[in-house]
Amino acid sequence: MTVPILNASGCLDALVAPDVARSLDVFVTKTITPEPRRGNPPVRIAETNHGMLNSIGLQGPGIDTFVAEHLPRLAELGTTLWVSVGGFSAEDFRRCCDELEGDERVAAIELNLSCPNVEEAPETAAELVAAARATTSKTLYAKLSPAQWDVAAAARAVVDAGADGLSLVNTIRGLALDPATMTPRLGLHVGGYSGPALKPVALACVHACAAAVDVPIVGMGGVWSGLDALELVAAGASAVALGTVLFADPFAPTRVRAELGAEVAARRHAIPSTALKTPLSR
Amino acid sequence: MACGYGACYGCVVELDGAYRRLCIEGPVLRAVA
Repeated sequence: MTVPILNASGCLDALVAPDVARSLDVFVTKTITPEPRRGNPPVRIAETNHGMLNSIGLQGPGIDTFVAEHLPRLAELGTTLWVSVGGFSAEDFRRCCDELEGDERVAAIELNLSCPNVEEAPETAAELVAAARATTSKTLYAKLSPAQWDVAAAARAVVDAGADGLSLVNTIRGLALDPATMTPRLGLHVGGYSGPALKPVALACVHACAAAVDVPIVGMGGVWSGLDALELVAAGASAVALGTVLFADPFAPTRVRAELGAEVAARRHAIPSTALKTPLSR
Repeated sequence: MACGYGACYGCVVELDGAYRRLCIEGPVLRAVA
């Protein structure tokens, strides 16, 4: 059993840490938007007991600068490349996908439909996927939020709209208070909660979606060890992404891959055979 | 600061209307460019 290891979008910059990116099976970019974005005002990070909050707000160069300046350097890494795209309307998703269409350096596009730190598009997730699908023939992964009552229904909707796979899950909105002042620690008060506390949430979402749709799932949320990764696979993921752990342990991809192999070997035939039932790219 | 090597954009400070990463563009920055 081989389980591809990816990074969660926004948790690794391959241009400043190329060796970490090369230790992954797939590198996923930070979410790119059509126009450059300053991002959210500081404070942007707050550590909590069992995870962390972030409020970055999709700071980035915009799709034109990304394609002209970043993409050529990312392609030189030799790692399979997925580009995460986001925006505030179906037109934003269409424009980003259009810029990447036909570019052989990009193996797949992840649609960030669920950033908790920016305003949502007026369209539904399915409508955003449909806009992307109409624009590109590339493999499309839809990244969903765990903050919905029926994530399986959302999964069905985005797959019906043309998503080839799911990325589960994004961070979930949270709040941390300064113990002295009892005021929010983040500049915009709330942020995306990630880290070990997110794992049971991610497992529940992967479990629900794997039963609802027949597409590959990249599981992520609080993965710290090979056992965490194996749990996501057992719940229905065919690949696993590392997020917050990369901030604490840049060697996590190699470590988690080795630990996962040992966990699988220790269990042999007791493992569900869901892994890699569908290739990650078309 | 989450990553400390320029990946997360968590440690930015605003200078001249732009956000600079303290971890790789700092830790000491000119207050005025």
